[in-house]
Amino acid sequence: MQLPPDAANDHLPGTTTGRSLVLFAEGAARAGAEALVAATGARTVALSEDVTQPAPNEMLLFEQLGVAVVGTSPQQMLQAGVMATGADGIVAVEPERINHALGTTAHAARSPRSPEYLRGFRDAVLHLTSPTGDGLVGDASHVTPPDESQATWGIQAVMAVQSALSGKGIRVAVLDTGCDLDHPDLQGREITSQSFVAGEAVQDANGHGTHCIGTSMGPKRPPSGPRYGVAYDAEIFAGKVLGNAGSGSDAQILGGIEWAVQHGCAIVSMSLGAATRPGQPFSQVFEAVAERAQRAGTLIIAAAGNESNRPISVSPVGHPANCPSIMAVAAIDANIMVAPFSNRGLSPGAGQIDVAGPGVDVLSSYPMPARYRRLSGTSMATPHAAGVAALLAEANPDARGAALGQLLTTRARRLEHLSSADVGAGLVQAP
Amino acid sequence: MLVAGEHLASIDDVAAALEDAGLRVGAVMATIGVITGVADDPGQLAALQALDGVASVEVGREVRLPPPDSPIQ
Repeated sequence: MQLPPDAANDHLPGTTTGRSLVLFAEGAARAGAEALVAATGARTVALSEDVTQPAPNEMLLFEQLGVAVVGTSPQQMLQAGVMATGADGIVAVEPERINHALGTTAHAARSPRSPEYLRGFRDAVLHLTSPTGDGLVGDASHVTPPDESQATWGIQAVMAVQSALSGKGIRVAVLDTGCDLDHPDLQGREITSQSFVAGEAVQDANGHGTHCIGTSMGPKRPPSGPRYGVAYDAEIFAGKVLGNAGSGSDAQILGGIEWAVQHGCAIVSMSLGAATRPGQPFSQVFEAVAERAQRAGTLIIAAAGNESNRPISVSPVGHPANCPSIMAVAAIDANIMVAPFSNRGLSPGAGQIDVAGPGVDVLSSYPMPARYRRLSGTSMATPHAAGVAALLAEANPDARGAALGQLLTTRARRLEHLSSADVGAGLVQAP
Repeated sequence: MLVAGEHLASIDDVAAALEDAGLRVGAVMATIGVITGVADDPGQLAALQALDGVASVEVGREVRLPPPDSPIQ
């Protein structure tokens, strides 16, 4: 394994410390450390109250984790003949970074020399060298659970906590199983609703729609529990296009899209779809509708689908997310790995993944008496993206339709350890 | 049956033509340019496609969520 490209760069002040993280192969920490000592002349020191970082000629060894922090830069290590070939039990060498993935109350737990940060580094590299080679499958067993005391991990991951925006003035239509209009967390919010299911009222007796509305637009300070909503002040448009039993026709969905466009909704969020076969063409009708909606100022965002079962099988992006003018959202977990069920853009002519959102173990509102529920799915990732799009729409009043979609992708956080076929431009990020 | 129209200004004319051709028109959505309906005879598809103002004709699909007790949604 070659050194990653930026490991050969000199120390970048503000982003790296000038020191290196070294990952050893399983069970080879001791042998690897000895090889490092032999090559660099570094002296092994132990982490203590007095010693929290190694001096240039020192090495902090975390034997149980199989990681060492060495007081020399990756460039200097290379010059000393230390290479991540795996031969000496050294799997990877990387610059020690200062920035953290999630700058929230979990900050302290993610400082570069904490066991949690090093575990995360180890796990990221282990997945990179995984023999499956199939784009990295989420495995929660290595990493401690995220801190969800203030906000769900998904709200943190899309950077909504730090955002000064709320989605105020932006209309977001969630086309789904309706909404629990009596939910305590939504009292005081203005909700415009319409049922497109003959014989059924908008009131959500399924739960799916309420969960998605909560994720995209739930309150900033729920009466109990952590924040779970992105655009807490956006205008809720609940279109019931799926019956309480969970199914809906294309015609019902189109009726919901028509309604949303007519009401000036900047975003339509559709956590729904039908499986597609590899090679199956996208719907020309839905594509034409999506293009027209964009020209009218409405961006349609849809779930990529959950038919996959990685690493055993990966399915193509479903209908209607597979339309080029509809933004397809994949699901990642709290370790920033692709969810096992998340579909992929299988080939250049097929439906593509545009962005990714938090879609595993997502806490959100649910009809009473349950009130809240944890669910997983690209259905959960999609309203995260819709909520972020609402914040972007608020911050960029001139960006609507396709232009808003472009903002969503260009502002996404690149996930370099994952394939764009799986996550598109990356993890959606709030402005 | 879904129909995407090219001539949105005259969508009502297109709907009338579809009715004449045997489609039981359900909804005429002028904003997005779609007409939905039911055709008793699947063989009519080609004939409907050929009508003036009709861009594409598709058989409608159904989408379905997993059962509510499923953890993956």
